[in-house]
Amino acid sequence: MVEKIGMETILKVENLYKNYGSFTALKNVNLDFSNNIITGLLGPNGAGKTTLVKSILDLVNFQKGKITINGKDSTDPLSRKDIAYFPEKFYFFPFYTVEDFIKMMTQLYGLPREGLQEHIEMALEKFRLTELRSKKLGKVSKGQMQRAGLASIYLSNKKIMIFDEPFSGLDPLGIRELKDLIKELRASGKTIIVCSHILAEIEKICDQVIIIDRAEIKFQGAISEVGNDLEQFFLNNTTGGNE
Amino acid sequence: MIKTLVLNTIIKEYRNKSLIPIFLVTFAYILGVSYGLEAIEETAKASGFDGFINFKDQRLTFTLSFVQFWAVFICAIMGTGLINSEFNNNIISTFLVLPLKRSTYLLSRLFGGSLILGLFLFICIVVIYIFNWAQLSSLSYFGKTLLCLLILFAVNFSSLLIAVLINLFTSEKIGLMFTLLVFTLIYTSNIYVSLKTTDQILEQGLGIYSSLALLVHYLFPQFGNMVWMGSSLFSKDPQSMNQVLSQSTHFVITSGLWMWCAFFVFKRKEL
Repeated sequence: MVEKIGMETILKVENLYKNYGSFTALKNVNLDFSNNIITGLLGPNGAGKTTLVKSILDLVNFQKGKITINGKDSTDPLSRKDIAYFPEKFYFFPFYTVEDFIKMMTQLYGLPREGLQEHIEMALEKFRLTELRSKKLGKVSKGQMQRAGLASIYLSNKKIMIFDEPFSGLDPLGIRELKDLIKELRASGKTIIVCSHILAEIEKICDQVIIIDRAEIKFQGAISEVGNDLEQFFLNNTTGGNE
Repeated sequence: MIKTLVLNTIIKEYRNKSLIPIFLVTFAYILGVSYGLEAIEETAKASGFDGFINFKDQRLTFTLSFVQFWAVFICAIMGTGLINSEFNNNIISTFLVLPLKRSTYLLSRLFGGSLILGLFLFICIVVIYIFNWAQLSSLSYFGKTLLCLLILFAVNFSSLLIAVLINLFTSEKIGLMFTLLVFTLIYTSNIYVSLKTTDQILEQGLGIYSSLALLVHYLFPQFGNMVWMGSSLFSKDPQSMNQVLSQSTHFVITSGLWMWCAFFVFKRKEL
């Protein structure tokens, strides 16, 4: 069952098919993402979550279908001007210091220079990176690098933010901070998509849930429709990935 | 955004430790050739050596060949790391989700790489120019030096492009070796075809090696011939205008085709 939640649609996926040779990664995917809500994209490993996100970001070529972001076709680079993406297993050049990396990302996001340093200071503080600012990315832990990546996404101030498995690699405090951050971003009017297989984390923050399994969308609806037990609901709707 | 990407490319390549020794070895060689070979020649002649030894006249050709030899390595090393390494550790997704065309991204990377390559060639040529000024001081020498620099830059930009293209298909581990193999094939086939001429090869009948040599010679930009064209600017009998025109046309067309291939492959490449 695929249900649509109200509000303005900011991202639309229509009739999407993606194959890798004879392997079907996405099959007839139809989705709507409304603004100002948090959507949890759930599915077992290999279900097609990352392929769907990569299709939205034009990182992979799909065989059939259409993706529209803010009214623009996803193959148009300008469709990504309002998107920030936090990839799974985030990594960056190890020779950059934490601060230089964040500065560089703000330049790539085209943020105005005026008041930028104050924003960077605030982000370093918020993500507990102040003491690590001069440390090279190659010398920080996986979780600390993750936090540096999240700081850059936070500063990007884009309308749509996509997080692919953002909880992996974070300590409990980091996970709590990230959940607070996602809620804060939603409160400031952002549209958030979080891909994850950690159901407990998703359940607490999402307004909408999409369950994908074996290349197909099994459910799209409000978290309230899921009931009290997301895990059971998830298990009822999935068959264990797309092997 | 493009400026940041170009700057990032330069920083990235500056961090590539293998480039600095190449820069240093080449400069040391230029200095060595400028002083050392002449000293060897004079010592040999003073000690009564009557064999053929003529470093003085061939000095520029020697030096330019050496500079180009290392420029090939720089292209191969940079071409291997410019894009491929970013695919391997998924850094590239951070860049490709930005609102810019993939072709713009590739061009920014190539531009950054070319600046390093240009700097290397520029310093080499300036040093060569300074050391030869006393003997060849003239305005035409300055013009020839500048033209030679441009030719070498074009050759190496094209090499960099081909190295990037090769590395879009190979893993980082074998990328450098494979790129150097392709470059060796190109230069060897250029020398082979130049020594024997196409007509002679066809008259003798095509074997596996001669067919491969002809294929590589005409399919790829003729780097060897272009470098020879650059160094012949300083020799007493430079190439004829017809040769220069046909070689330059072939170089521009083949480089353009390979550039198109690189952009096409990069545009279609999936993460």
